[in-house]
Amino acid sequence: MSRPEPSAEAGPSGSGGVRELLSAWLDGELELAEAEAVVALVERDPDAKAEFEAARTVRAMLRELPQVEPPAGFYERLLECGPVLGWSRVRGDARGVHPHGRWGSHSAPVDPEMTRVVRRERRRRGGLVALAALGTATSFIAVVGMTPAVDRFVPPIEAFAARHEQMTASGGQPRGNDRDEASGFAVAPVSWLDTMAPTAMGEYRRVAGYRSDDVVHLVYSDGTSLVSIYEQPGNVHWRGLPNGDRMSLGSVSAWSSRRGEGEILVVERQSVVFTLIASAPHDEMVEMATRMPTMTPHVGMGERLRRACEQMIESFGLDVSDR
Amino acid sequence: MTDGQTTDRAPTWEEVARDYGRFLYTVAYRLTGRHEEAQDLVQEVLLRVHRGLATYQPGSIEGWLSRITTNAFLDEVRRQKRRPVEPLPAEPDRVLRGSPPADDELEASNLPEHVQAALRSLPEEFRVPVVLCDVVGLSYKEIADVLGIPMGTVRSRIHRGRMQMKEVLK
Repeated sequence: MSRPEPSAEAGPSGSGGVRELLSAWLDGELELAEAEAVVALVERDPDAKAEFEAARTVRAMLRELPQVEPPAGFYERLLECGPVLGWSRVRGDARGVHPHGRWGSHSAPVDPEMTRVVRRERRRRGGLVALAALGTATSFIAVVGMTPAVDRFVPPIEAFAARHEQMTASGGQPRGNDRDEASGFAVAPVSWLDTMAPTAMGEYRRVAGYRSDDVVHLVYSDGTSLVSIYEQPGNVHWRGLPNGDRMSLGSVSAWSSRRGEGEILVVERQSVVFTLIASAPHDEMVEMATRMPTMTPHVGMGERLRRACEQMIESFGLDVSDR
Repeated sequence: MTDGQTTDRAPTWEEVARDYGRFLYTVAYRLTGRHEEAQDLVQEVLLRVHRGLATYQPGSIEGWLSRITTNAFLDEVRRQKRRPVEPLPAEPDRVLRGSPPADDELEASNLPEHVQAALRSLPEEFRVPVVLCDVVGLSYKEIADVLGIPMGTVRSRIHRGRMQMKEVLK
């Protein structure tokens, strides 16, 4: 008769070792000779028989456990978040779903009654301003939101790289003037950035964000080096890019090129083009590229403006859903 | 629970989320014992699935997902051990606080929440193989492969885990 296979954690040999085979016997996972040893043990030892019955009962309890349903809307949020999962906390809670929690900002718990009081006061003070803002927002949506966002283009890599070097020289911090007239970039409002950008990626923390007409420029730092991420709506004209390496990162297309000590990585996901520039190792660049925050497919500046306007309206205490 | 479905092509991310979301959630909940942690775990698993689709090898999708889920869970356990957030309940009295004494009537504790609490009381080295065996439905060989441990250790851990559950459920 062959001996049962020794376990790294098995007790002393003999009936104790065979006893540990009781569950395996129950599960039909023993060779014939091993099963015969277990049967012999159960037949002569009432305690072993009781242990076998207990194992059978516990196994039945476990196998009768029902499938577990997640909270309502969990699957929908999973599918909605899709490939941007790394940027979005899917979990909801009693306060509702936080749309950008995992990497984005987290709201503190709020007392509902206090919220109502504050909103009532804001409404009283800001009703006219809010209505004006609503009109402005509607105009933005009508004019910008309808603009087709998808087109093929070559990201202005040289300009981006020059800007990144400039950022590196200044430590990534925005300077006193909010608008850089030469590049057209302006410091982006934090509240607007938080609708789409993570505050951290691994060791890198967001230290600044900028926007121009159709480019968002996010700057991250790990304390020693900077990462620039430029985001543009549209699709890459790959053949128009300079010499470099074409590659696939999972299901997305990418292009990379070494530049000095660093690297430039262009990734297209869901009709959003990301250009990453950093001195970080290639693996880190790829990791960041796979976590780029696209809110939804085809999100362009119109959508961003719409969301920004919603936030602005919200700040005045108007609940748009009431209308 | 598992039908051992295999496929010759890599599933899309959407297929995994849509077709295996409930499976993943159930496994995650049985491993963690908490809905919030289960949601975080599923999210982490799907993130890893998204990254791993390119290297998917045709075979049992549920085996593949179980491996990812288990690794993600154990990674989180290790992370929490390095930086403990909340101690796992180790004493039966804490796990089943308020439950009536059951003497030898195991059946009296056959409520899902009691069984889940007893499951959660197990150290993870026992809990994981028990979940993979009795919730996921993997064979001992598959469990040994997923966990990277010898078959004999799988046998031992599953039996010890069940016996510890019996003690908690008494």
